[in-house]
This record gives sequence, C-alpha cells and structure tokens, in this order.
Amino acid sequence: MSISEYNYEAYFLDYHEGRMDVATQKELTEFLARHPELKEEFESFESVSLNELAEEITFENKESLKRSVANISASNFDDTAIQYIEETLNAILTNELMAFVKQNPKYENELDLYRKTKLVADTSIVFDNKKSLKKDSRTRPVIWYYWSAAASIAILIAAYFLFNNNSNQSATIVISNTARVDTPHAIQQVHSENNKETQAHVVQNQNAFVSVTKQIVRHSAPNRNSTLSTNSITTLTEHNNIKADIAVRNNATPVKKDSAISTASNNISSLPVKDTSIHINSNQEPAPQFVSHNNNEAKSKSVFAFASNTFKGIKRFLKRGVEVDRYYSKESDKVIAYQITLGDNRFTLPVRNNSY
Amino acid sequence: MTVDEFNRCVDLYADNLYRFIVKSVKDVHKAKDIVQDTYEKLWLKVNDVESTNAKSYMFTTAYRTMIDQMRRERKQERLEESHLFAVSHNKTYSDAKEVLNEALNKLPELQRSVIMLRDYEGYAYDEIGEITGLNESQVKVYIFRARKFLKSYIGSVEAVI
Repeated sequence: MSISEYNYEAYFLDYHEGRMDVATQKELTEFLARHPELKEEFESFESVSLNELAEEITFENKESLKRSVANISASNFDDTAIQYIEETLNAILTNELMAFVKQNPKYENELDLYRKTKLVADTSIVFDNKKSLKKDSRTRPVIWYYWSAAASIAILIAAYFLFNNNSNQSATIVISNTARVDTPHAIQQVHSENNKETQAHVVQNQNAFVSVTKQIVRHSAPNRNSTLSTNSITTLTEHNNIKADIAVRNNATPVKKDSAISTASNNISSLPVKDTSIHINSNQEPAPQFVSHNNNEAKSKSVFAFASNTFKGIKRFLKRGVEVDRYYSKESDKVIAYQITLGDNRFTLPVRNNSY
Repeated sequence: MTVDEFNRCVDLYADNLYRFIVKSVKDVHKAKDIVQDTYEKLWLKVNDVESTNAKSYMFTTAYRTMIDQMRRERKQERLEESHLFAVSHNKTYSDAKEVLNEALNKLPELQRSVIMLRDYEGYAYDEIGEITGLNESQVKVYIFRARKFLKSYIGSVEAVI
C-alpha cells in the first residue's frame, strides 16, 4: 500500500514514533515533495508529546514525606514508643527510634518504662472446673430440651388434673372382681350384709358416659359365698334398657364366682327396677382397670380422660380455650373422631378401627 | 460447631476468658459465673457459631455480660482522663509485676479491657473493636492512653522507690 492523501496521517505517526523502515521513509519524503501543503502538518506531529509536560509537574515538598532521625523528637516520642511497644512500627522507624534513644540517653529510661507496660498473662489464674462447662457428646440437640420440658410440664399438668378430677367420668378404678347387673332404669347404693366395706362402681353400660354412684358396697367378704344385696339404691342415671356393671372392690377376699346376690329393691319406689338380678363374675385374677365390656373402650376412655385433662390444665395455664370433644358414629356408639379446639383453631383427629 | 469442638473450646479458652474477666471484675465468683454464662450462651448457639469464630464470640459475649453486670451494680468507673493521674502510692511493692498489676487495676474499665485483649490475647485493633463495640480508632486511642498511664504509674512508683 502506498502513501496517499487518504492515509498519510498513519505514515506521519509511524515516522515520528520511529517505526518506519528506510524504504518507506524514502517513499514518505517523495510524497511530501509532491504535496508541500502537508509539510506543515507533518512537522506539527513532532511537537505533540506529553513527556515534556509530565516532566514539568513535580511534587515540591518531597522532603517532608521522608523520615529521618530528626523527625523523632520529644513531641512525638511517646507516640513512636507506644507504636514500638504495640509492634506496629516498621523496621526503618524502629531503627530510627533506637538511634534517637541512643543519641538522647534520657529517653532510654522512658522507653524502658514503656516496655514494662506490656502485660503478661498470669498463667496461674485458671478456671479450675472446666468439666462443668463441657457437654456430653451424646447430648441431644438443644431443641429436644425444650420439647422435653414442654412434654414434662404437659404430663405434670395432666397428672394433676387427672388425679384431682372429681368428675363422674373417673377412669382409674382398680377393682378385684366385677359384678354384672342387668339393670333397669336406675341403681342406687349397694350394700353387703356385714360391715366389711367394699367399694363398688356402678357403670352405665353405654359408651358415652360412665356414671358412678356413691361407690360403697358393704360386702360379706370373709365368706367366699358372698351375697350382695341392693338394700338401698339411690338414684343413678335414668336410661332405658341399661345394662350396667357393678365393679366390686373386695378389700378382704375375692368374691366367689357365681355367688348369688340379692337385689331386693326396698327403696326403689320412685324408679321401678326391671330385672334386678345381679350376677357376680368372681374371677380370681385382677380385673381390668376400667369397668367395661370392652378393653379397648376402657383404654380409649382412659386416654381421652388423660388428653382431656391435659387440655384442661393447659387451658387453665394459658387462659385460652382448649377443649377436646368426641364424635360418635350414628350407627353405633363408637368414637369416630376427636376434635381439639384451641382458641379459634380446631383440629380433628379421626380414630381408626375404634382403637388407639 | 460439634460437641467435641465445643469441648475443645473449653480446654483452649476457658482459662483465657476467666483471666480476662477476673482481672476486670476483681471477683472470682462473679468471674466464674460470667464464664459459665458465656459457655451456656455459646452452647445455645452451638449450631450457628463456627469453631474458628468461637473465641471471638465468647470474648464478645463475656465482655458484654460483664459490662451489663457492672452497669447494674453501678460500679463502672469514670472514663475521664483526669482520673488516670489521680493515683497515690501509699503502698509498698515487692516487684515490677505487682506494680503493673496495681496500675492495671487503676485503669478505667474500658482501657483495662482493651489493653488486656491486646496483650493477653494478642487481638488486632479491629478484633478488639468488635468485642468492645468500639471502632478501630477508638481502640487505638484507649490503648495509647492506657500505656501512657501505666508508664506514668510505673515511673512514679520507681521514682518513689
């Protein structure tokens, strides 16, 4: 490519920056001879250089930035000495400080005093019971402590209200023997013929509620051929076609199986008794803890009572409405669901297979 | 942080922390309580605090607990400069270490804390700032004042002796 009016600037620049070979220089000279009007422009390239301009700009007070022995004086000795003690003084200034102290012996003592301000830990002071700070590596995560604490409180509350519950729905009856009663509308009290005291629990034989009478049965315990008589029966709950169980707690001796029980209803005038025969199933083994036809039902009621009392306790502590309700099947008297009401929130817990 | 790392922190830092606190509160029972409290707080944060940051976390927690306690007990000393030089020497000292210890006790709380963190634990200025809630410049100023006071105190005692 040869030099023309359209590219001569590039050749001018190369020439002035010394990047042009001899042959091209010769060509450029011939070009300028043909175009004298560009000679002035060619020469102007020569004057465009920043180097000279840069050299003119200088920092006038360089000396003020430099450090020397002369800069350490009485006025800044403390600062410098403390930096030295703090180990933040660079090597040059440290040397200068040492030189200053050497030249001014009275500052040697001052520097020595600063050296003495360096604290050294007293290793005789130790925390002597580190074991108390350590944690067992098997320890559960902290979160479990909270859950454990909450659960413990809930259980304590439940236990408190459970064992202090005066409700007729008591589910914690321990009995030795059971006496089945095909009972009518009501049963009152049950007494034995002697004064041996035995507790009896008369239970309505429907799943919804448990009704307990005064629970006193006077029973001829020493004699295994026990006879119970319903000399006086006070009002229970009136229902039609009730089949009730009488649970007898025999404090002396288990009642003999198939013992006859008299159910004379002297005082049942207000509520006529139909078919008042009482039959004692006097098994020798401990009876279940709840008087019922169905163990699962008893368990269910126990759990319900526990849960219910837990929530009662929580309600009392939190001052918020916490309630547990049971729902029954329309076809039978089985519990089909529990509903927990906490304030405005409700949770329904369906029951599967009528058991827990 | 794992439980093992936590327990290692006990071995590594309990003494340092206790030394720092007991020198400040001058009461071994309170100091032990603060150390216990600090490790309990660390334990509650055991899943959040990395073992590499545990020392700093503990010193920060312990320092703040100590300051809160001092404020509650209205025992925090004044920080005015004039207080620094209001010293007297009615006591005899057996060695230089005792003099320094006495001088340290006379420092205002904040100055004492920063210089102990600096000399005992070797913390950098910015780390001391994080622990004490000061900025780096303030830390330098307090350390500077503390050293000047200590030097002045030691010098005056030596002059008396």
